[in-house]
Amino acid sequence: MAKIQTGSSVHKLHRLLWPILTAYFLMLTLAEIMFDWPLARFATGGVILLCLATLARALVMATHFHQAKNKRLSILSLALALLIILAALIGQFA
Amino acid sequence: MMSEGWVFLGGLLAGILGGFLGLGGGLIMVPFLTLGLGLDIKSVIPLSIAAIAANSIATCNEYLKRDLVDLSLATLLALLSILGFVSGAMLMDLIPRNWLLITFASLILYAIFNILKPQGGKTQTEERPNRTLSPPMMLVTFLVGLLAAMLGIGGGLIMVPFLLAYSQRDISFIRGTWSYAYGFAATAATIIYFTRGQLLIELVAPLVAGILIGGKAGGWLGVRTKSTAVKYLFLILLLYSAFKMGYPALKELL
Repeated sequence: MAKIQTGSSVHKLHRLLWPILTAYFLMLTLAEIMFDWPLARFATGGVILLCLATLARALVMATHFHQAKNKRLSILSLALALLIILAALIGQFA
Repeated sequence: MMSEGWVFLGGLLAGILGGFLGLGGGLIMVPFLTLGLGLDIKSVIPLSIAAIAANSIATCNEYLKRDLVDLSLATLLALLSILGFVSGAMLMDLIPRNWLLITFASLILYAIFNILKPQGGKTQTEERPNRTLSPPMMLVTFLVGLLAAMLGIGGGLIMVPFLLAYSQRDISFIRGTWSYAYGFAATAATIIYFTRGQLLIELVAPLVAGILIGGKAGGWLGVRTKSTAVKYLFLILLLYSAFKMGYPALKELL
């Protein structure tokens, strides 16, 4: 079983992502509610941020498996990142 | 114009109750936005998927802290569910609105049954790592992804019992692994909805912010309190939502 140590890169990344995402989306929400600023453009940025966060998760996971000398899962994690990029193309053209 | 404040509150409520009862936020968010705020279910589903994708990061952070994620299994599940979620996101537009409402109402009834059912005594057992998934399990993962993307849910309600039967692991371990896996798939579905213009972009921020904060609070509450009164009140609300969503749609179809 690929156990994750508390200080591993996968764990560190997740600890970092929650405050970043929460701060970004909360800031947009408060600006919209309190000042009525039209921030839809920044919300698009939020969706992109979410995608980048997920891509980072896949890449960090690939590195984690690479360091654990598990080539198969490392390649599968890279495939996961590739599928997320492909989803954008599918949505655009299909 | 839809009030962002109400949407934020919806996300917060979904996060708190979802975290408290161990459900994904979608099952609470979709009825709240559809019945409470009067949004069309076809606009609510993409919004819910986007919030679920963000919530997966917050939820699995808690599970990672306690070493309750099997990364190998999560990678395989993520790969298969991503195919299901992407297919579901592509097909959602083709499914008639009433069918979506009826399926969602049935899913709520199934969730109520699942919550009321006495929990199995499967606790921490011996290690039996499953590095590969059997073909039926692969099919189930794909189909759950397909259904989840079409209904705006995380899929844990169906997937967790299946994974429990498949691998001899503790339920927290299964929940942790699935919450890690579906985040990838939900993000891919969000991208599809976004690129096809089906995502109500102005409501993404309040909903995601609400569920990220609520999910953290709900998880914290779930560990520390055991209120059966809240649980039953919530079940009544869910039952009411199932009726309000399913009955008019069914009446219209018949």
